[in-house]
Amino acid sequence: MTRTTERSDTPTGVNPNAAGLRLTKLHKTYVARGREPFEAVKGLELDIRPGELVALLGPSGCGKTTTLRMIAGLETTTSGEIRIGDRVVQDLPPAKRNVGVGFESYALYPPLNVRENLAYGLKARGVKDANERVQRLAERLEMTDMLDLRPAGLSSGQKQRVALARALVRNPPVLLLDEPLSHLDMAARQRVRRELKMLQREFGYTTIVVTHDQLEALSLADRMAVMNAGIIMQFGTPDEIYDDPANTFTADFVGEPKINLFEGIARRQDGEVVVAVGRDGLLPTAAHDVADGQSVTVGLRPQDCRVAAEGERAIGAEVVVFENVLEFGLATLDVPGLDGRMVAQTPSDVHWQTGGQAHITARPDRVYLFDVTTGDRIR
Amino acid sequence: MATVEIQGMTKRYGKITAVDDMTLSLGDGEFFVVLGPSGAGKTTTLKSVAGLVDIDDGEVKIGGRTMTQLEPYHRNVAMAFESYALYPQKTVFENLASPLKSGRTGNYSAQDQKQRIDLVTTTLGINPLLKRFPRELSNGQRQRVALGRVLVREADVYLLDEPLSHLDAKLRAAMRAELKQLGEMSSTTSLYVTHDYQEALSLGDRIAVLHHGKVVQVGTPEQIWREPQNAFVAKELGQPEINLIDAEVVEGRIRQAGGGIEFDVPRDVDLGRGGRVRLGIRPSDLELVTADSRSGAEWLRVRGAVHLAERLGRNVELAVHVGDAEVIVLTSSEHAAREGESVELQVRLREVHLFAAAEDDDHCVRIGAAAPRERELTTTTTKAATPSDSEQGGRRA
Repeated sequence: MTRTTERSDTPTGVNPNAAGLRLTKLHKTYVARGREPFEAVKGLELDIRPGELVALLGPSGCGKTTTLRMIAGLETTTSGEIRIGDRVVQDLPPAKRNVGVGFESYALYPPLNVRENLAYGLKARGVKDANERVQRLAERLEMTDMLDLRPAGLSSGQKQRVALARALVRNPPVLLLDEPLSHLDMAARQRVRRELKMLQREFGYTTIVVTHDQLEALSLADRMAVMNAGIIMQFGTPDEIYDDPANTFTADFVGEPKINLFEGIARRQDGEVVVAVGRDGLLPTAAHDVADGQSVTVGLRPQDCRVAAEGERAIGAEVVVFENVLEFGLATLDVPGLDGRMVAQTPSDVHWQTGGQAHITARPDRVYLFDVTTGDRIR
Repeated sequence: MATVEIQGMTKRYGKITAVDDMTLSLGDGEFFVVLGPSGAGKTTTLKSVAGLVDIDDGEVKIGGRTMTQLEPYHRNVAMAFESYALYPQKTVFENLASPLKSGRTGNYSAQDQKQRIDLVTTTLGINPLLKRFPRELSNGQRQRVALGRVLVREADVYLLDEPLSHLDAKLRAAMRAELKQLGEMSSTTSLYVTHDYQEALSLGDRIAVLHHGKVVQVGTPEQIWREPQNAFVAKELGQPEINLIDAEVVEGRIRQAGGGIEFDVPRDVDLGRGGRVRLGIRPSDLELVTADSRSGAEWLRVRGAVHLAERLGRNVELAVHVGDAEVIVLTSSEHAAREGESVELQVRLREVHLFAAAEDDDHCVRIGAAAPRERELTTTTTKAATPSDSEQGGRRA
């Protein structure tokens, strides 16, 4: 006899029920009469370990939500395989897949208040401490004040937390969350995000979070997949994604203030590679797989810029605007001979004058080079 | 160019008081920002100055003239709305020309019109878009056109209602820098409303923080940031939010409830009779102690255990258990600590804010800091946050 045992909610760290998840050559093509078929997901490959939190990050239309819906069973697959643990699930109905789904539009029973809605599924399965569980979870998600409200009276931020709680309260082995924090205000979003991560750690659900917010993905995820136009541009830990972007898309999409991407020409000098920028700028770089004189796209994050010492390789620029945001400063720079502008972030105790000159440089391993045509990283 | 005086202004909608006895004074050419959460009365403030709503009490003066009974178009103000408010059936050029065509706000010949529109579109970089319709523009471009409609006509005062709020974070930062660069903006008295503290800090000559229709604090960005009037203001600015930690006053020492942070009661601070205070420490003011950390009497050190480390771009946000409190620390990814690790934190005593202990943030009034500042903050001629804010002139003359 197989039946899912109801686990207690004592923190264990490792969830014995947590299952791995594997997507193999997953495709989704939407076909509508009179229109070109639209390929939303193009051969996705993803291997998620048991208990891992993976974020799918990308702009709208990149296929991240479609992927999540296919895993949940809310969308059919065109081809490919979805495996949860050792079960192939793409042809199973949603209820048989044993996943917890936190979708914003997930229906709540209107006549029941939030507490009853959350406890309903638990009680139906004969869980004895259903009410206590709901109460404890509500405290952690900062939603005790809404437990006695009916769904109709909730704001969108509140509804979102109810949907999240409803997915969590079941303690599922695989948890799928679609933009779980998007409607919360800034401060609440940060707190609930931390709580979500703590809960996920404690209970060890294998979790997939879909988000378009790069900070949310960086802070929540054990590993993250950056998606664009139905394919994965890069899959890795937040450190890898941020410090070692594989292409201009990832570099550009992740990070705020946005990375500076500008033209440069690689030069080999005494066995070293440097990159010439604008009229007379010169930056060190750790890249070496590049020819002397090759045109490249240079990526340099505003946070990685620092003031150059005398005689150091640097870019000289005019400070067009200096913004002092107290926590840090932001300088918009005009580099002679370069189209567009650069942004450099300065520590809070550095103040530049608007209209003044600045010489900036960066650590060689923080000056990324990309292929001009493909956008792929040059190592 | 004109000063703006708001005196005892009150606006009620039925039982709700949207703006409550507001008194503000904007210097000629000052860029003044009103910062507050949604529902604080920011937009009502703008509409009251513009004359789009009738105020119930108080007075608005522009350039010394009382405006209260004047119709909006006689006030010579230009306003940009959050929703852009562009004519969908008109091209960008026609949209920009419309403020110049209304006879009430001055007569412009066709040539004058073209000249002014040219000037504004060059500044805003929307020259190539003149023949397009709003629906053919991106959000950022629409925003520029909406700003262009404000700048195209000379006005005494610009009123700007969250003009960047619909843009995504990256575009918002870029537009913010552009706004700061606009000469027109810096020379014309502007009242700018936002809920984004970075916008306020970056753009404002001075900032008024609004809560429940009341002005909580007025000051330069540095004053608001370094010396928040109460815990509400402290929480409004900074992401992640400032850490607020309960503490007791025992035998000349201030001690975190349950142990942890502890230091001498500063000499120049009057703690009143209360035995309790609330400490405020910004996550970005805390740092991890390493072998080459700066040290000395100005630093306060405390031990804790990291229970969560979250990567936030180049920074790592640590949640650290210090005594009974969870303290958030923003540190660079170069010297991050691992989860479960025991760490030592330090903060400059002068960055430890002392607030009165109270239930709600509004009543957690600032008492001082754990150590005095050696340098005066950038201030204007009179102290900010006095109820009768009667000063003249901003930082930018």
